[in-house]
Amino acid sequence: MASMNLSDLKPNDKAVIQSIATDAPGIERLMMMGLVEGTEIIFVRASLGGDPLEFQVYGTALSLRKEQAQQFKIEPIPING
Amino acid sequence: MASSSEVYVSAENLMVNRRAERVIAVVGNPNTGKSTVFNRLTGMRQKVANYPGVTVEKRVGRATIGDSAFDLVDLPGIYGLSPHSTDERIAVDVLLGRILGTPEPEGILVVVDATRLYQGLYLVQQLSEMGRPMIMALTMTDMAHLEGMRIDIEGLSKRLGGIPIFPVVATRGSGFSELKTAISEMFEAVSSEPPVFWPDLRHAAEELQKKIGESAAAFQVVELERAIIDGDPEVVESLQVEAGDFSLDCLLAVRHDLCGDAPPLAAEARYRYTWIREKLSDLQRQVSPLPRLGRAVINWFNQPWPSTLSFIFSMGVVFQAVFAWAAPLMDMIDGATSSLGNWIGGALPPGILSSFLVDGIVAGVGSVVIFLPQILILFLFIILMEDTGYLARAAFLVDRAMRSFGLSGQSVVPLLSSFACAVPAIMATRVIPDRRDRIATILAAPFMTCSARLPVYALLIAAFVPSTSFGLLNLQGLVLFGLYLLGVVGGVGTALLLKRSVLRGSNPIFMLALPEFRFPDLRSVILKLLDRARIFLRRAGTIIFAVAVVVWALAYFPRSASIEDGRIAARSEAAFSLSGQALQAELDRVDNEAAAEHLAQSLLGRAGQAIEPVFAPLGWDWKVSAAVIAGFPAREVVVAVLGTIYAVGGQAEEASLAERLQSVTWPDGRPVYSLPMVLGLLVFYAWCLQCAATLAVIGRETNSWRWPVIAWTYMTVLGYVGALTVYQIGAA
Repeated sequence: MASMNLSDLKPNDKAVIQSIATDAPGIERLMMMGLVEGTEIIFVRASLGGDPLEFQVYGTALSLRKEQAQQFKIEPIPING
Repeated sequence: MASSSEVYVSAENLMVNRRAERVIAVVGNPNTGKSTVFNRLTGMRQKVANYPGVTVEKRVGRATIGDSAFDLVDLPGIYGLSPHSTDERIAVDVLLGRILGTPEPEGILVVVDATRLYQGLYLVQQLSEMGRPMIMALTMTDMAHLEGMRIDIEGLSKRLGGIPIFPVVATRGSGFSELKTAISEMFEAVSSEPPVFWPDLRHAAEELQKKIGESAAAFQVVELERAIIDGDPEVVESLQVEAGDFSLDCLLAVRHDLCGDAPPLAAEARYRYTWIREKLSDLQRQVSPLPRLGRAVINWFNQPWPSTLSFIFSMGVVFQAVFAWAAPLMDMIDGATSSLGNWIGGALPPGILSSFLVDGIVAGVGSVVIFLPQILILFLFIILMEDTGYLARAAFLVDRAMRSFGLSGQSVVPLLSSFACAVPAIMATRVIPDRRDRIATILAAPFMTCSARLPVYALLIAAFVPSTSFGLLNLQGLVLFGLYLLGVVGGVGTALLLKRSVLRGSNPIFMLALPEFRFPDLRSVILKLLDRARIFLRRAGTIIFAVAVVVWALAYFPRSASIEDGRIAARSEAAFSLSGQALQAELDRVDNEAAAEHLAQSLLGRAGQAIEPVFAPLGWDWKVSAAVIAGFPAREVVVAVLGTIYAVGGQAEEASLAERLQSVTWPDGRPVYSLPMVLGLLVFYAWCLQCAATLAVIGRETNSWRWPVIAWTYMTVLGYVGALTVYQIGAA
């Protein structure tokens, strides 16, 4: 399967961040909030019209636009795994 | 301390030094309940000011614990020591002791939200490396417990190098006596050096010191560390001046050794979060959360459609409340001011003093103070939405829609706040990271119907729009809603125009923390509301008072003796030929005529007449023109000015200002306040930028005089053209 990014998840999907395009704008700040390699992240829901997206990271709900979410490559965690 | 050469001492600095107490910085992530902790510790003994040169609020409070006292500084919320906004920059600068008038904090009280432990611990690591006595308050422990989170606090304290941790529930006040005791003892039991969590960074900084030598020794190790990670301009510039480009080469070299090719901040985040995850994960256990009805309801409401509907509904409630709930209170204030005026008028002989007190001060200030209830109700809702986390949810909801207007979801918070007042709203645009977005939002904000427009709207609507109802909808309410809509259209149109022209650019990033819904802390809400009331009343007591006095004087002087002689002659003539009711009517008519003549040849009257041709196409007479001119420093003054003009120029103390406006006519008997003219005047008020404070804050926040000039010219022209169009169409 081709590598997935954060914007490919379905609501309530869990994933682990694998790699990050650190040079995209605004990404460093997200990393400061805990979005680093190895972090577990949950996609909660999309807003009206499918963008921005709400994620849950270390207990914080964060809103990212699709363009930013696409900078994070992920490995999904199976529901029962 | 940076090697800056500030030799002068500000007045504020002197004052702080005279009663020098140990200064403790209260630091934490945004939305951790940090300010609630601060309020709990300091009570009402707070001083609010601005940091020099910026509009970031500086909150200092005195905490008295036993025999000792401490000065607590509540810093803006930060995620780490790498600032991305003015607020964050200030927080970091205070910690590093770089702000004039704010002593470098000797100790740190770090506030960590137990439900977001890891993000808090990222900051705790960095703060600990500053090497100062530190205490950690762990908030939201009750919430964390409900969510099934179990934290081994003792174990956590040990792994973090012995930093004392105190769980508190800020809203209930539990845990505070232990926290206070710990604060009072924090400078006594300074044991070992606080731990360094990222030794490689420390080594890099020491390496840098060694390489550069003396000029690097002027900086704290932490400052060099921040320079390595963030390129802290203060340190970098100073190094370059002292030690030349060589020092920059050294900096880049140690940075490369530390981080390789990765951006340094990314390297830091990777290191610290990995450390937290690996070293602390066994201290935090997740059991299944208690099923809570509240959470299920909130979750449901956070879905797009319910959340849209609830958003529209709550906006409706706010506008309803501002009008319906405020009415009885406003009637009370109105009653109080007019009986005060009558009492003064009765107690003093007629003449200049009586006119000054009754027409100038009581009528002028009273007609503004009457709007205090509406302003407080509006602010109450905005504070509640902010403190419950609802405003951030709203931003998330509307981001996509706002993007089609060239703004971002983050613009919605400032834009909603500017329904109360554009000044704090423009300050709140700091959360918008993109400069173009931010300027577009700043220029859109003054269009939103602020509370100072309400007096004008309320007055004109009450006077000239019939209170007919169509089912649940009231015509007056509809007109008001239309005016709010007009403001929104003006603001959004302006933003769109700017983003399509001078502020064109790529889509900026949008990142927003969405705080959990939580019940607001009553103390904080009341404190903020009192702040608002104080600001409004101070304005009413200073600017508006001064304008009212000046306007009264302009309307009273020069006093023509010939008019006065004519009036006395006409009165005695009437007394000679008439009697009873006819006499009284004639006397009133004579007095009114004389008052109108006095006003017409007063300074204000002449100024209004001079400017009248400009406003004549809008259907305004010279009195309206004069009032509008007087309102440019602060638009709510217009009501006060109209109050003064028509009190001086008319006899009718018993009639309300609205009733007096209805009876104003042109010399040929047509009413001045015809429907097209009133609607035009309302449009003018919706779009015109009549507020010196807003202009000042635009200048300060954009750091240029160009934007305020552009905003003022643009909005004044727009208001004029709007009023002209409405009047000409309506009158045709």
